[in-house]
Amino acid sequence: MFNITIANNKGGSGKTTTANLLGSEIYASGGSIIILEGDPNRPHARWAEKRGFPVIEGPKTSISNTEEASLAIADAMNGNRLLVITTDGDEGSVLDWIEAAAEHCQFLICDPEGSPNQWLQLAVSQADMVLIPFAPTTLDADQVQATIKSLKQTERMSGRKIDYRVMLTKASNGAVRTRDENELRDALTKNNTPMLTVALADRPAFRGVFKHNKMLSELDEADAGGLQRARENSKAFAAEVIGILKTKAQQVAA
Amino acid sequence: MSFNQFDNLDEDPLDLSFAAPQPRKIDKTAAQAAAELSEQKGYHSRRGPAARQEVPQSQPTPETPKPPRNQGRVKISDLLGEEGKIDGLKAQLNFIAPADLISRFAQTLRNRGEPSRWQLLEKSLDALDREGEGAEASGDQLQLSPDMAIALAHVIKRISAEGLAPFAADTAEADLAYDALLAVRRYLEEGGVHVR
Ligand SMILES: Nc1ncnc2c1ncn2[C@@H]1O[C@H](COP(=O)(O)OP(=O)(O)OP(=O)(O)O)[C@@H](O)[C@H]1O
Ligand SMILES: [Mg+2]
Repeated sequence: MFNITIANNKGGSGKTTTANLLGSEIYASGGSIIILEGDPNRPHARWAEKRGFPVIEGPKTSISNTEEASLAIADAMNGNRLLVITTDGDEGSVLDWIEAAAEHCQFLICDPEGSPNQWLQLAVSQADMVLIPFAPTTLDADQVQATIKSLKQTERMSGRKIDYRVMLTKASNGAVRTRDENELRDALTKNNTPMLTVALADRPAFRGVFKHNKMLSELDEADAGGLQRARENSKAFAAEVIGILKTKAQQVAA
Repeated sequence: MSFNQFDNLDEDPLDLSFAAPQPRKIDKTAAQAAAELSEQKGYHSRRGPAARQEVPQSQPTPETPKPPRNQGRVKISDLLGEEGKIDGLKAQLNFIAPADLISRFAQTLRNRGEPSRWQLLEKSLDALDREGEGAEASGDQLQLSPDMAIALAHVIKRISAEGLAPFAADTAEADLAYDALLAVRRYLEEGGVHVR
């Protein structure tokens, strides 16, 4: 199992959308996926309920150790390949859920709520890859730096390397890029900040998944325009992330 | 509407064969470090006592950067933190003052017939540009002169008072820029430039 944790101290940077798209691409490729969510607003759980995927309501499922968490997951998944676990930001259970999830899915995506918190720190400490999404038209950069800084602190204190990638979300799509965006990209590149080459563009279809409670592949043109390009973009993004994990897996095996 | 797990399978699927469900213990050392770090930083705990892991009492030296008290000279790299070295004057400027937003802000002030604040900022930006050319040539990080910092502080004060909604393209942009400007403001204040 690979743990992909989405992190950015800044709220509204596109974490939840990024998590949904990655999860959906894995699902569409036949993979199994658990989304562990820290946000008490439970956007993933609401989406999953309406879409018809199982949900574990963490706060209502009293688990006191990993074994109980594992049983709860097996019970809820029951042959499904996608499960959402909500935790209402409860950091007391997050490690149990992470450990238990390992036995039940190929990929775990941890999506915290959008402010620095312990839940996020704990998820990050167990991550195989941390994705740091941020929108380029803003001054999000200092929050990206702050996020990277606390990753590095955790790394130093634990001696465990944390692999991370900064990625652009809500980016201008293709031909026209704002000057800010170009300069941001340049600045990060020059800084040697590890970045995904694929950016998620700002597309109505990406907002549409939560609006219509569907996977991207299930939206139709009446739900949102520009579907074809949105799908290509989402797939390319997921392919890059999966490619990086695959390389890591091969390195570990070698 | 009914869905099953064979819906929407991709015709050209990603290769996921390298990943398998497999028991895997959490990394306790890393979890402990993360819990300690959260404690140090005072991250809130939503539900009483934090992670079940025992957190030892040892307290590594916190690495919270102290902004320099430097009479209002502000180094952008300080503002952005240790990893924040950004090459290029324009790129640095864009971090603290997003061009689109500032120009809408200026236009609004002009429309209201009160350009004096803006002119002060504009003059400072020009001065900064000149100063910056030297800095850029020598590979230094840009520093804000006290004038520039004060001009920026005025914009921030104004924005803090009125909110960004009238100036930003949408509420998301307004929210994000507002937070960032407040961060700049805190930084300026810590450096001795007061925004009142
Ligand atoms: N690539 C994108 N294209 C268009 N809209 C997007 C994109 N990514 C995010 N959004 C929109 O931006 C808003 C915030 O996104 P999202 O909820 O994913 O951010 P978040 O980081 O999870 O926020 P929070 O910190 O509140 O958890 C939402 O309205 C979402 O639909
Ligand atoms: Mg979210």
